[in-house]
Amino acid sequence: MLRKEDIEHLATLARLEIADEEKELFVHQLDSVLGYVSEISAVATAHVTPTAGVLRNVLRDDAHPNIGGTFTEAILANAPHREKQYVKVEQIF
Amino acid sequence: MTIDLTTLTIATAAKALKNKEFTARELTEAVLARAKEMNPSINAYAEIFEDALAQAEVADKMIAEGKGTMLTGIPLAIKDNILIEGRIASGGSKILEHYKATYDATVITKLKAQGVVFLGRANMDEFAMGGSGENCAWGSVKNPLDTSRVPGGSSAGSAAAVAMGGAIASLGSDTGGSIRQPASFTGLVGLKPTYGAVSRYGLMAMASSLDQIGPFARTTEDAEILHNAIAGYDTMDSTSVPEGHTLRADVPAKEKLTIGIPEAFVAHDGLDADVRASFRATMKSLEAAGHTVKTIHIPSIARALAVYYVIMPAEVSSNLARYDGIRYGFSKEAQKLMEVYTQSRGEGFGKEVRRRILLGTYVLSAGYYDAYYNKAVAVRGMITEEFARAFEGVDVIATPTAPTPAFKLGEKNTDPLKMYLEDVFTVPANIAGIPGISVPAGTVLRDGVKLPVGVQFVANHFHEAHLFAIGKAVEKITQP
Repeated sequence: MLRKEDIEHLATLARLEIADEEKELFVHQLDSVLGYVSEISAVATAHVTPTAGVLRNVLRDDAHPNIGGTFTEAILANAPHREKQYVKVEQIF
Repeated sequence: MTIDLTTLTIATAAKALKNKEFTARELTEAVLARAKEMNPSINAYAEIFEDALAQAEVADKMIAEGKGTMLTGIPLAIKDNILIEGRIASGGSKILEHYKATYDATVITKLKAQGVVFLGRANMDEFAMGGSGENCAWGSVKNPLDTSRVPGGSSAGSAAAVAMGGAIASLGSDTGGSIRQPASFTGLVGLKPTYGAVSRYGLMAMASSLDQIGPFARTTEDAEILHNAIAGYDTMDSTSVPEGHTLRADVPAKEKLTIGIPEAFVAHDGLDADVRASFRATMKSLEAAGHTVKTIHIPSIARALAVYYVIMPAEVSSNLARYDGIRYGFSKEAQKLMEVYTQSRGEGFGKEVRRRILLGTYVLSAGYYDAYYNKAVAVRGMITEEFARAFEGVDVIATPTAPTPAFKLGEKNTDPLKMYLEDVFTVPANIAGIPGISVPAGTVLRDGVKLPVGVQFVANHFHEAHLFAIGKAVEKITQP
């Protein structure tokens, strides 16, 4: 069973502000979903070899980069706060 | 010129355009007028593009120069999580309300090359999370066949736009049924292609091991045309499957198919009696038409839904970490950087998204990772193997698409688990990475309204050809 403190801990990990009344609701709803998905714990999987599938290199050649500045203005136009060619944020430390 | 916009297909429109029965501009004008007339009551579109007519004129020029294809001048709706350069793409979320795409998704590049007309961006459940179209930041989408009911989700607007005559076909995305279930609810054909068949470059990531882009259309033939136009290897998507890969099979064309029914799974308690009867009738008709129907067993298939609701939120919580109020999107003014993060995300994301982020964070957290995430990955491997074995004996596997016909607005959105159970039949295809199609297979009566019901077929990896064949076979029965 989840507690309100568990929701608060998860919200901190996820960088998500949750209103107090919603915490109670989420305790209840997450419990119900976790109760349902817990049915997989009864499935015997000891014989299943964990595998990432057949591995192949999916990386492109390290070549043909975009010409510097091509997308700069379009990307920065989406930034909530900018100063010249920088994204502006609140003080970090 | 008279065009019946609720029945016009890509195939017939392409022929008419080629024969100069009408121009792409005239066609777009008609569809645009219909979209604008219907949208206030249906809310299929978040935005109807003002330059649609200019796009149509380009298409007319292509046709005049003999460079037209089946898709030149065809007006399509595009789900609001697929990027078109210079246009807003919101993902149905307040957090991306003003976000402008800086590049074209690969599917858009391919369609632009064919002179497709983009009519608008279609509303959706926020970041593709929902089965009803009610989780959209820009209001609930209504089912054009009965506006008291949902069109299904998450590609709610993509389905509703076509069903209301406000587009000839559309693109959606499917992570656990988000194309097939709304197709079933609105009487359309919906295809979720094989994982890796269609590039996701330029699709907002929800759950990366499950997401695929696919078409909505009025016929299987149209779905096939649109699928063929968007499919193909793309170096910009690391999960795209290269040509020549062992998963890509040459599929021999088959007139008569062997259909497997996982009876124990179809016996699911939550399956509506009328939907069950419709499914039985369809299978009987297919058998009468010369296809072989047999019972199969996929022992772990019933676990797919539980597996999905562990893996999907885990990937959601990781993928949505990028929405932080710093580089783009909604940003809350605050004194400290940490508060900018928590408040932008807390206010920018809707309730279902917040719920799934917390759920995903839980199943990935220390102490629970093995019990939930790793266990789900192991069961996923079992399900995938069982499907592979099943396809040794059958060409396609049939189930209903959804356990119910379109339900009422507000009927399920207060209880997340109830809504999640809607996905029971569609999720297995995403879990196994195989293609699935929903084809209209009759109607059921609810409150005096005939509501469409779809039947779903899934096939082995890259065996979409079998799905198109069986889809056309169903259409022969339902529209002789």
